[in-house]
Amino acid sequence: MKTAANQAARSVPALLRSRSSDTGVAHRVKRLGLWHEISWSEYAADASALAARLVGLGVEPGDRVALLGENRPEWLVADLGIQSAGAVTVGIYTTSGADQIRYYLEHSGSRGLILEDAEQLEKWLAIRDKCPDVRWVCVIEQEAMEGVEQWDEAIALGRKLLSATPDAVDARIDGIDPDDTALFIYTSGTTADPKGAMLTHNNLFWATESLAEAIPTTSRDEFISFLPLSHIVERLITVVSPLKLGYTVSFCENLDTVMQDMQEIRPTVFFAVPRIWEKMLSLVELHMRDAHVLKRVAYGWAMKSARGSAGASRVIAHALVLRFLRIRLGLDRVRVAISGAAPISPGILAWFRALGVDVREGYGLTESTGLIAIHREDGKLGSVGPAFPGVEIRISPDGEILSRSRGNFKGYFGDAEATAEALAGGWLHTGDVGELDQAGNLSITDRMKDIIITAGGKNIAPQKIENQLKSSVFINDAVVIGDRRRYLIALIVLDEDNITKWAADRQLPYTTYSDLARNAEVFELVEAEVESVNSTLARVETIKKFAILTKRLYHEDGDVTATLKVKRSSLARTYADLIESMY
Amino acid sequence: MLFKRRYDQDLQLIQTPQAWVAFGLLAAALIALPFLVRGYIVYNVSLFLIYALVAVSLAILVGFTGQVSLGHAGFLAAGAYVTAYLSSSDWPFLLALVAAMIVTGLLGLIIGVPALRLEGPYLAIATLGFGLGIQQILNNWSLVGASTGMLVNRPEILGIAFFRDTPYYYLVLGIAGLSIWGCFNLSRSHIGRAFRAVRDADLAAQMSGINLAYYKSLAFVLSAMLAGLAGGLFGPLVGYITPESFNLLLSIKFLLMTIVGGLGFLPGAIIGAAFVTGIEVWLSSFRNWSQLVFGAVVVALMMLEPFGLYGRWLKVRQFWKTWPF
Repeated sequence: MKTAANQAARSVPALLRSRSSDTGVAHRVKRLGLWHEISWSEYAADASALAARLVGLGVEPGDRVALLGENRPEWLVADLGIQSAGAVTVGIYTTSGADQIRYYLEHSGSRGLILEDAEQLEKWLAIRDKCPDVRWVCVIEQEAMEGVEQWDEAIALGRKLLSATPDAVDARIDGIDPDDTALFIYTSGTTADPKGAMLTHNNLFWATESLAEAIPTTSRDEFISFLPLSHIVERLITVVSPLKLGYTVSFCENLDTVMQDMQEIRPTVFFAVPRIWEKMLSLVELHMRDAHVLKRVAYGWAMKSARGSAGASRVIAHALVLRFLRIRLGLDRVRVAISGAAPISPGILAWFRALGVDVREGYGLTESTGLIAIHREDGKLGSVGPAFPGVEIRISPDGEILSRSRGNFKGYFGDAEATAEALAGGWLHTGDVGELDQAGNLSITDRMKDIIITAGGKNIAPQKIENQLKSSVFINDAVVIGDRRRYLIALIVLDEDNITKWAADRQLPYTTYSDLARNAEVFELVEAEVESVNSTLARVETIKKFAILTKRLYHEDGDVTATLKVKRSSLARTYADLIESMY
Repeated sequence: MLFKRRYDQDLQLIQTPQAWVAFGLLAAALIALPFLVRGYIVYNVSLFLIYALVAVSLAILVGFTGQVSLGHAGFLAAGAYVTAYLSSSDWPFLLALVAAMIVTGLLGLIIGVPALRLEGPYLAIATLGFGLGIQQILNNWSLVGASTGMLVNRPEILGIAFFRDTPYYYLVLGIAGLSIWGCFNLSRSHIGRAFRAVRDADLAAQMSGINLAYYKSLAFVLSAMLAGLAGGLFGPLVGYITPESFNLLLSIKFLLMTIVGGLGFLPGAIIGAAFVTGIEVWLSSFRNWSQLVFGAVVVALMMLEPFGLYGRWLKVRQFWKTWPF
C-alpha cells in the first residue's frame, strides 16, 4: 500500500494524507435505509477542505476546536480536519448538558465548535453569550443561521481556498511535531471536575502499534462504530488505527439500531462496553423465555454442552444452535471481541465464550492512551490479562496500579499540579487498586477512592459486590454504600426491559418505571436476587438493606459520568435522606 | 441479512439465493414433467394450471380486495364459449383468447359496478345469481349448442400443432405461467397495495386518496379477465363443453381452493388449487363416500389452520427462520 509514506508520517493527519489517492472503502454509513460507501480519497479531500477553512478563519497551530456530535463520517472529517490545520480536537460527549458544555469550552479555551444537529445546537444557543472565545460555530445537519455556518458551505469555502493556495494545509501538516498535542480527552470526573488529558501524535501512534500487536488486524477487517468518539478507545479503533491499517468502519444509524446494524455489517473485530454485552445476554435470555419449548430445550442443552468439555456434543451444539445464535447477534464473523471501559462480570464473559465468541477483557486509562492490559486468548476470567505490548505494570506499596509506556499522556491541560501527581516518578498513577499474579495477569480490585472502610475498620471493594448484583438480569446498576458505617447497603436501579416483562407476565398493574420501583412484589424479587449474591459473600460484605431507586441514573442529572460510571459522592448527596433512613 | 444499497432490493420478487434455487427447481420440474410421468398426469397438471389461474384470479378479488364471488364459474364459462365459438369460426386461437378476455372483462364490469353497493353475503348472492344467469343463457342459446354443448378442438398456432397432451401442456404452462407471474407483479405494485387497503380499511383508504369505486371495479374486471383466459384454455383441454359443467359447485370449488390454500396469498391460491385437484384424484378411490371425505378433510383443515395451507407454511418457515429464538 502506502507503507513507505506510512512510516514517514509524523502525525495523524499525515497518515490520512498518505491515503489521498486510495479508492478503497473507508467508511460505510446508513442514510435513509440505504448503505453508502465513502472512499479514503473522499475522506482525505473533505478533511483537507475543512482544514483549509479553519486556516482561512485564522485558527493557529495549537488552538483548540471542539466537536459535539454522534458517530458519523463527518465527525471523523472534522477531527482530522482540525488536526490537519495543526489544531487540537476537543471531543465533547453528546449527553453533556449545556452547562457542562460551557465548562469544556471555557476550560479548553476552544476557539471553534462543530455541532451535529438541532439538539446540540439548542444547547449551544443556551450558552452562547457565556462563551465569547468561541468565534466560529458550524452545524452539520441543520441549516445555517445567524452566527452558525453550515457544514457543506464550510467545506465548499475550504475547497475554494485550497484551489487558490494548494499548499496551505500541507504546510500545517508538515509543521506538526510528533510530540505536539493531537487531542484533548476530558476524563470522566467521578470525584471532581473533569480534567483535560492531552494526548500527542506519538501517543496515538504507539497505541495503534500496541493494539495491532495484541490483536492482529488487517485492511480486510470490518469494524462497527457507535460508542462515543470522545472516549479514547473508540477514538483509537474508529479514527486512528484505520488510518494506519486501512480497514473499513461502518457507522450505525443511531444507538437504537445497533442490533440490526450488527446483523447487517457482521464486524470481524468488535469492541463494546460491559453494558452492551449485558444487554445482548439479556436479549437472548428474554427471547428464550418467550420461545417455543423446543427452542428453549435446544438452547439450554446447547449452552450446557458448550460449557462442558465433551467433544462431539459441543461440536453439534455449535453447528445446530449456537452458530445461529451468533448470527442473530451479528457476532458470527467476530474473530476477537473486547470488553473495556468498565468492569464486567466474569459470568457474562463465560457465557459469551461458551457461545463461541472470544471476548477479551481489557483495561486502560485515558491517561495511558487507553491501553494498559488485555487478555490474550483464553484469558483468566476475573483478571484483565497481561500488559499490552510496550507497557510496564507495577503495584505500589499501598496497592495502587502504576503503569509506564510511550502512551503515557503529556499532562492535564492547565493543571500542572494534577499532572505532577499523576505522573509522579515517571509512572502513571492509575488510582486503581490491583494485583499482579505470577503469570503477569493484572486484576483490578477497585478505585482507590471507592474502597469502603466500614465502621469496624474492614476494607471492602464495592466493585466486586456491585458486579455480582449487576449480573442479575433484573438489576441494571447497583451502588454499594457503607463508608464509616456499621454495615453495607445498596442502591439498586432496575433493568427496565426485564422487569416490565416480568411484571407483565404476572399481570402486575403499573404505569411507569417508578411505579414498578415501588411495587412490593418487585421488591421481593430483588430481595431474592440480593440474597443469592449475599450467599456468596463473606459476612461482613453482605448487603444488609437495599433500596430501589425510583428514577434512572442519567448523565445530564449528574448521577453518572458520560461513560455511565456512577458518581458516588453526588449520588450519596442526592439520596442522603434515603441512605440515612436505612441506618 | 441483506446489505441494502438500493430500494429496489425490497421490491424484488425473488430476494435471496435460496429463493432462486427453489424457483429454479420448480421451473425445471414443470418443464421436465412430460418426460418424467405418464400421459394422464400431464393432463391433470394442465387442468391444475388452469384451475390455479382461476384460483389466483379469485384470490385477487376475494383475498386482496375482500369482495366475495360465488359466480366465477360463469366467467370461466364465458371465456370457454367465446374462445370455442371464435376459433371454430376460424379466428386465430390467441386472438380468440384475447377476445374472450375482453368479453369477460366487460362482464366483470357489468357485475362489478352494481356490486359496489353490495357487501359480504349480499355480494355473494349477487354473484351467485350472475353465475346461474350465465349458465341459463348458455343453456338456451342455440348458437353455441344450447344444452348439448360444443365440441372444442385443440389449436394450431403459427404452424405448430398443439393437439396432443404434451404440446398443449406447454402452451397452458406458458400462458398460465406468464399470467400468474403478472399477478405476482400486480400484487407488489401500487395497485396491489390499493387492493389490500380496500380490504383492510376502506374508509382509511378513501381518506388516503384511493378511489374505492375505481379499484373495486378494477379488481372485478381483472379477476374476470383472468378467469376468462383460463376458460379459453379450459375448453380445448377437455375437448367438449356444456353449460352443465360450469355450475355452482364449480364456483364453490374455486372459492374453496382460495380459502384452503390461504386467503390473501397468491401462493396460497396455487397451493389450494393443487390440493383440490390432487385430492379429487385420491378421492375417486372412495367412490360413494368421496364427497363426505372431501367435506371432512376441508373441515379438519380449516379447524387446524384457519390461515390455510400456505398460512401454515409461513408459520413453519417463521419458526425456523428465527431459530434459535
